[in-house]
Amino acid sequence: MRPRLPGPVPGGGVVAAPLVEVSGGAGRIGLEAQAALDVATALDAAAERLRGWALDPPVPAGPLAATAVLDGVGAAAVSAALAEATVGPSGLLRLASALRDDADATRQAALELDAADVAAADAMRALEGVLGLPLAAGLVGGAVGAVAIADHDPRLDADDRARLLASLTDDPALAERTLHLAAAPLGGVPVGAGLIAGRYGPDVVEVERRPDLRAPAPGRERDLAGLVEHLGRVAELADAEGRPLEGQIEVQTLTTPQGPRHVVYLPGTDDLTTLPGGRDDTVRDMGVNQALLASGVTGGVSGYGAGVLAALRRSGVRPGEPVLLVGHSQGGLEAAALQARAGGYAFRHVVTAGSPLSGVAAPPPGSRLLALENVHDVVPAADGAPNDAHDRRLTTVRGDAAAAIGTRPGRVVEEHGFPSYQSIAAAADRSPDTSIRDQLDALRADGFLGRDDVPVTSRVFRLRRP
Amino acid sequence: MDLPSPAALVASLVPDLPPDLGPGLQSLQGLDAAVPALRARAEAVRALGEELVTLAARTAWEGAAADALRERLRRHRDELDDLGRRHELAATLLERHLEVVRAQLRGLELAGAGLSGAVAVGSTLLDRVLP
Repeated sequence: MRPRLPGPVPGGGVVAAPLVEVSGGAGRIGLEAQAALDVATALDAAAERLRGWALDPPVPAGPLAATAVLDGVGAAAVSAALAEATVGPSGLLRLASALRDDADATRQAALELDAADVAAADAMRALEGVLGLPLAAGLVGGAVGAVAIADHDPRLDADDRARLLASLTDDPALAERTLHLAAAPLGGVPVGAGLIAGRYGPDVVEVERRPDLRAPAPGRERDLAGLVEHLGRVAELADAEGRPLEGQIEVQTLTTPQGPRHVVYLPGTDDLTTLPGGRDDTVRDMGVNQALLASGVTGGVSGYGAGVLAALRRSGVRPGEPVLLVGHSQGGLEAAALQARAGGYAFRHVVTAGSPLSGVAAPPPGSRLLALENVHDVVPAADGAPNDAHDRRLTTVRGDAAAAIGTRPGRVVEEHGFPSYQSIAAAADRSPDTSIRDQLDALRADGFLGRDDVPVTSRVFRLRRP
Repeated sequence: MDLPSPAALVASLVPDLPPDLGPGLQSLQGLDAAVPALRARAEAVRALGEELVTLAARTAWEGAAADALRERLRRHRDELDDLGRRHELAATLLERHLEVVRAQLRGLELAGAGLSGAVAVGSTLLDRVLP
């Protein structure tokens, strides 16, 4: 049986999570020992420049001393100012010394990062030992897959499983670094994922309109938490017999005074256990995860993405009409990949919840991406690297959902679930952070948030392989 | 008799003046060039502060150590700004000092010229009065 994610919490019951970090956008940085060493080298060079300046004053001492006989007070004032700038308590030599100290401290920090790499490598070997399989390959392209394996692997006893899962939720950054190291011999996570994705072969997807299905309260999402809640409702859609669907997406068209606006809700992975050669009609599988993680390198469109584009065409969305993509997990990854490629549509905004995005190309000019990450969720770490913290169009908001909703250690699925991300979204809605406000203001200005009573047309589609 | 030039007279009147200044105002040119050099250094010092902060901000490195370094570099940037101002101040003080020195030299040259004239007149008189 496939694990099901916790469904969304109805509107008023959401508790805002403490936000731990906001990066990128109008206001995270990867960790690399080499980067720290580069800083240390630059600090040494700066210190040397200061020292050189101190030893090569622009005022020749002899002539200045000579002119003292004509203006003793003036020459003394100049000498004092030069001495203070050179050997004073805040002078060139003192600052050169301080920069050298900083360079040494930075080198020490780089050594500690190396030690962290060793710790991550040890963790990797420990995981391999626990699972008894070459986890490196299993991890590349999806910590999700590793979790699924861990969750279902009969070789794991309850204690081992609990320890493994607890470590994944306690420190997803360790998993991120482990992935980074594991994938390094393959050329990095995106390249490794691309190699694995290739083993799944080409993807063909059918798009079926399901007029019988409707997620409750379409178009009433006044804030970010509302968008995430509604996405959860789309993810929970069931057929007439109450059986969970797979491959469903929703395209909403809002008739606003500014013109049509389209919101596309993209749920995440339906099948975490698909191996190459074992594909079935479930589109949102591990093969698509691999393809998406590699998309920044391959530039290809996954089967999921092809289905979304087909659904937009069938919904009458025209090029140039603003589109907001809201995606959870694989759905967010797909949303970011579509935005990066555009594909003829104006994907003006993307909101992701729990998606590993670092392997996807940056949002193109004129578009924005707001990424929500739960610090205890291992899925956003599945790309082996943090998001770019220096892209003004990409804002990553990291919150501690466990602190808000009380998830327990090791509850990998709960940490990845909708209530966790609703709580982070609710915190973002209330945050005064400039980058967050910039993103939300833009969503509002473009007519996607804050709407009350604009007419909404909802279309639910189901994507599947023939 | 040969009369001394004003500059030579200044040199003779100010015995502490080093030989390279003795010939007069020309020797101040080395100090004149130091004024823009100090201002250029002030600018370079300030630019270095900005350069370090930008470098640290763009570096793919995170964590408490990285944050602490960024904070220290922001402080250094402020200190380098201040240091730039000190270089500017030194440039301004040197500029004023050179104005004073020039004025002094001009005064001495005039005095020298007057003294030379008096010596010339006296010499002529003596030549005529004393056989």
